[in-house]
Amino acid sequence: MLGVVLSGVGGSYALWNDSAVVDAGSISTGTPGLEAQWAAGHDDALWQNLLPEESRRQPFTLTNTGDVPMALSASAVAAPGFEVRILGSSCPTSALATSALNGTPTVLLAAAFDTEPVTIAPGAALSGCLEVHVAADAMPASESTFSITIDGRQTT
Amino acid sequence: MNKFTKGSIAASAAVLLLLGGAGSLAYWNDDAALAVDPINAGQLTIDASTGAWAPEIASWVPGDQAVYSTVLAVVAEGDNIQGTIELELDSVEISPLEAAGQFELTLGAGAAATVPDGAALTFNADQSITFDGPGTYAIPVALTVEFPFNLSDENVSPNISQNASVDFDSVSFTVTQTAAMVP
Repeated sequence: MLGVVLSGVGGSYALWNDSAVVDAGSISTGTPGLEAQWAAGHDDALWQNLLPEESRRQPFTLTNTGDVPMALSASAVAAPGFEVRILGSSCPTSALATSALNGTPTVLLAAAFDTEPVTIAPGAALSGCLEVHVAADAMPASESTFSITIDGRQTT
Repeated sequence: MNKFTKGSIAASAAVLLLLGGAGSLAYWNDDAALAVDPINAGQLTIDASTGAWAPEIASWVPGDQAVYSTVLAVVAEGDNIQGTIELELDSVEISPLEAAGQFELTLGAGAAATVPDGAALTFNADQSITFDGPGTYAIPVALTVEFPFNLSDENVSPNISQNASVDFDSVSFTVTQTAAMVP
């Protein structure tokens, strides 16, 4: 009888276990952020009464208000006869040589023949230039409203 | 009554007397004490030291990676003791839940571990740790958290991980004995 008690017939297990808890705190993620505003002295009247082949440029400022560096691109849709161009640097005295914007985002360049997009670091600000150009075949008394979308995408 | 009958009756009576008349038996018995040394059971415990992050990142962005290092102290007493140590990932909470797939957690070896003489310690591919042998183990471990730049799941918007949080305030390590069946 004593032997039966010791043998534990049936294969029962007595596996030990224990656990330890550590407080490693928490991690939180940031956000991207991009703001655009016209530079001081902006005047919408500058784009009024333009003649065919005329161009007018006005500066704007982009600010990275987020936590990541971003590469920039832009898109815009204007009425027939009007073209919108953009440059990721200060306005030159002559017409912009960059391609006219359309509804598809195109990279924002610091110079017309650059191949890499402009990037902006967190907390940094960038001066850009927006140009409205009236095409040669624009109809008299025509007008256009447009909106510019500048897209920032995180870079490594 | 003949002699045969008398003898039979006498024998029967003798049998009845021997049987106690009511069926009781008189088997002899004795007992002896068996001296057995005390059986001592061992123990299995685990503790974790206060760890630290490297680097310390205040606000994570895609592409960031950091390592949380701590030391696990395992006391394993028992001639045949062996077991497994595992990180309980259920203790890690991510908000929003949809951002969970954008973080990768891996547990690996830290600095060189202290292993008792004659014992063995192994870091396994499934991120568990196995030990074999009694003694006190000091096991530095490194929990690597990666926030990949390129999202692997195209069906999840990468922006879902903005303003997200991952709570590691109750990270649990469990040690479990894995002894064979006792015959």
